[in-house]
Amino acid sequence: MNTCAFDATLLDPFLDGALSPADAEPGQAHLDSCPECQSYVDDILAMREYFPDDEDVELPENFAANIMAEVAKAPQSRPRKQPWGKLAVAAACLALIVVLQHVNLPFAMGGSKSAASIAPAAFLSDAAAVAESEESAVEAPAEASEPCFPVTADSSLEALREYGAGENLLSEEPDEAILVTATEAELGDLIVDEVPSDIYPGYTCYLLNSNEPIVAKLVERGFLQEVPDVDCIIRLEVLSE
Amino acid sequence: MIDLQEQKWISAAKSGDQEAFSQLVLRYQKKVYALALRMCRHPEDAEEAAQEAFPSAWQGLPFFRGEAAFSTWLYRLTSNSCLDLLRRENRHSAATGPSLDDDELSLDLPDTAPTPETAAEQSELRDMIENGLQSLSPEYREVLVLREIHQLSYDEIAESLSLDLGTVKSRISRGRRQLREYLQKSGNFFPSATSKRMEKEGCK
Ligand SMILES: [Zn+2]
Repeated sequence: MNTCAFDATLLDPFLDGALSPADAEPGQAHLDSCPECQSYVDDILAMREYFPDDEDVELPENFAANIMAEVAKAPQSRPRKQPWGKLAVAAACLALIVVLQHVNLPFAMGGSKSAASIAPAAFLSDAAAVAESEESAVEAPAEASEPCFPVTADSSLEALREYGAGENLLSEEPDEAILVTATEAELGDLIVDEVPSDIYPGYTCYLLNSNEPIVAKLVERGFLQEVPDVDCIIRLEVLSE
Repeated sequence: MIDLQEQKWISAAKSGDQEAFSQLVLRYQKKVYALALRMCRHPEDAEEAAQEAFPSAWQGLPFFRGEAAFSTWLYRLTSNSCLDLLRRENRHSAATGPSLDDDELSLDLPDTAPTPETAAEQSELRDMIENGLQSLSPEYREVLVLREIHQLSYDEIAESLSLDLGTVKSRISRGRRQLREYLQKSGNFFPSATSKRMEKEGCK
């Protein structure tokens, strides 16, 4: 069936206008002489012609109104100047994650001190800061009934694994994740260019490859001891308040 | 192209303006729902996913720095909600298709394929594509939906789904080949298209 030796993976970018004119030229030349590739292109164009469009979709009743009702109930997270009270609870929740992930995930870091162990250390310093604030002791129990995050955090990693949605981020052994947590205030400009991979109540998660520039900056600022191996992904959790 | 009106809505919504956010909802509701519907298949699931994605966007907006387009960011949240919903509920395991681990994927085609009339109406052809899309795994389905329905570029798809460009390319290519195979086996989707081409171009 596949008798043509032409690199067929070029046909799709060709059809999608994703090739530079220079790259598109040999494709066009080949198409003119190859019935097999031509039939592929014709079929894809035929599919495109009858592809449904979003105007075909009939929205459920009160769709936007229902969304806005949810939005009205959902508080927007934004940085605060002195978020210590909530931070104490969030830190406690996240400390749990650290423990869970520390237990569950075999970290790939070599050397005497794995970067993963940095995370709890970061908490300790946060916790110390928190301890200076008296109100945290008062607020913490009240906030303690809020759900902690480990289940969600786990499920999102699982989702990535199962569906390959982040397969560029997850290595062959997707369990090799390094958790780094920080407050938005601590990171500030560092996360400006990053697109969150998940947003949860109270924190936002970024999955980073170790070769991303932000990782070097995390090292510079002491959130990580060193730039991890290339196969490692870093799960950066940024507390929003 | 920068849409100034949209930028205004985004920055107002970032600082807590729900009215501005509702304008964004109105602008993107169909695209979000269209994506969710193809991903989840069932309207009630799609609604649920969209009902999660928009509030997530609202909550996360203060983090949104406008480096990526708002739309691609929103599609990512939508896609995450859909995949999460499919995974969580595992309601429609049949719709999740084969695993991506295999290099060669085999299609599970229906034994009795629908056979539309030669002069099939446009809606029937669309239905065939919808059914074909549902035969694909969600990973292939979402790239094709974002490409063909939302008309995103490869870069935008990569951004929306947090994939690298090579993965986007290969998923589009494999997804299309599977969809084509489905349509070839399902009836005379292509003969009509081919004859149309012949009419258009004549004999070469
Ligand atoms: Zn060829």
